[in-house]
Amino acid sequence: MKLLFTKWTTIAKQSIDRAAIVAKFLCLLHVTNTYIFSPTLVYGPSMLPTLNLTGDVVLSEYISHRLGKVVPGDVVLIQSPENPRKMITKRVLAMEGEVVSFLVDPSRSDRSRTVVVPKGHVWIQGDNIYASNDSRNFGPIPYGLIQGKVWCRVWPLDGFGSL
Amino acid sequence: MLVIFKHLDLISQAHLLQIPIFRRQFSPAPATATKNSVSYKVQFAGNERLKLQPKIFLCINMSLFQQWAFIVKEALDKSFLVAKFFCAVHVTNTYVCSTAMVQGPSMLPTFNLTNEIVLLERISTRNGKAGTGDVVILRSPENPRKFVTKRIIGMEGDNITYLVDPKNSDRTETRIVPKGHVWVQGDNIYNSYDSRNFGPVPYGLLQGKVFWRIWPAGVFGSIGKRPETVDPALKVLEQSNHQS
Repeated sequence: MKLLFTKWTTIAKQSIDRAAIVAKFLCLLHVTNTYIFSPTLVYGPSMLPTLNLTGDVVLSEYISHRLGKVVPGDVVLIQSPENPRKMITKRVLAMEGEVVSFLVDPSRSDRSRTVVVPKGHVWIQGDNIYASNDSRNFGPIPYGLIQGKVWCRVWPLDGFGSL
Repeated sequence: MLVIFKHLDLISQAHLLQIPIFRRQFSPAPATATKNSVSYKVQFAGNERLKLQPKIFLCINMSLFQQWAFIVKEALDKSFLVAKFFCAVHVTNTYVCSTAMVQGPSMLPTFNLTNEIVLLERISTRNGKAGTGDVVILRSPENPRKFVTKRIIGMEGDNITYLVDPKNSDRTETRIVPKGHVWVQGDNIYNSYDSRNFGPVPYGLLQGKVFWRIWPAGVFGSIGKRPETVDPALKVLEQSNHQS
């Protein structure tokens, strides 16, 4: 009886050890994915021709926006101001205090507007201005909604390289 | 840590038999040793408790490098332990529950002017369960490095009627909160910089919901769903907000 019990405890100890290793690995993976960099799938028409319609896997890093190093021209991942569960990818065109001129609805008219970006906000636009729901629709977004910066593309392989 | 636990059996037997346990390189491993045997030459006095710190006597014929490597390995193990503890604390703070210090006049009389420590939980804001009447901590839309504490007055789609500048005039305005946004106001409307100034705030900026006060000890307790105030102006606004 005692032998069976010892055997069982040994097996239990070993399985707990293995599970602990797996848990530690998952923790490390999660920390890397959240705070350093991670692969992200982006899709949609609003960033053509930079990003494909059907989906690209890009590496996005999560360090620059915490240090305040986001500059105009960066492609960033942001939490949508209209739906907080959705993440969207757009390009930053202007930081706070800058003046931005944009075409309000280029597929229909030539009308353009000029706006000053308020303090603490950024102006984002998709590269494909004909099919993009961005700051021209919902206004400048607070910097705090930026979640990460897109760094380079890893899939499809013929598009490999920095963005 | 795991290494020490694995060897508690071995070490307890060594206590009884006074047999030193050598590293694999010096002698063939005993049958019961596992793959990660560490060399401890242990000697115990009669009633020394076998806890987690056996006395370690480094063998004299270990070279200086091996002694140094041994010490480094021990240091790394201990620091991994500390790192794991900090990881656990950080994960709890970010995803479950955390503490925060709130200060400033904008939430009087709910929170005092001077520092108060509160508990905030991060689960409701992540799941979209933060609603009207909750005191929340959010990232300021004007300064992304600053966190402010305010109360949610309205969610998306609500009609909000608010006093624009109660210190100077009685003018009110009514706005509809757009999709994905919330309207936040401080309880002390006379001295609060909130949605009346910077507009409705995207829901994504909410960091956590304040649910308990823990310092100073005199105000230990939960936070209500309405501001504790008898300001008649606020009462009128509340009624109109709830009717609409």
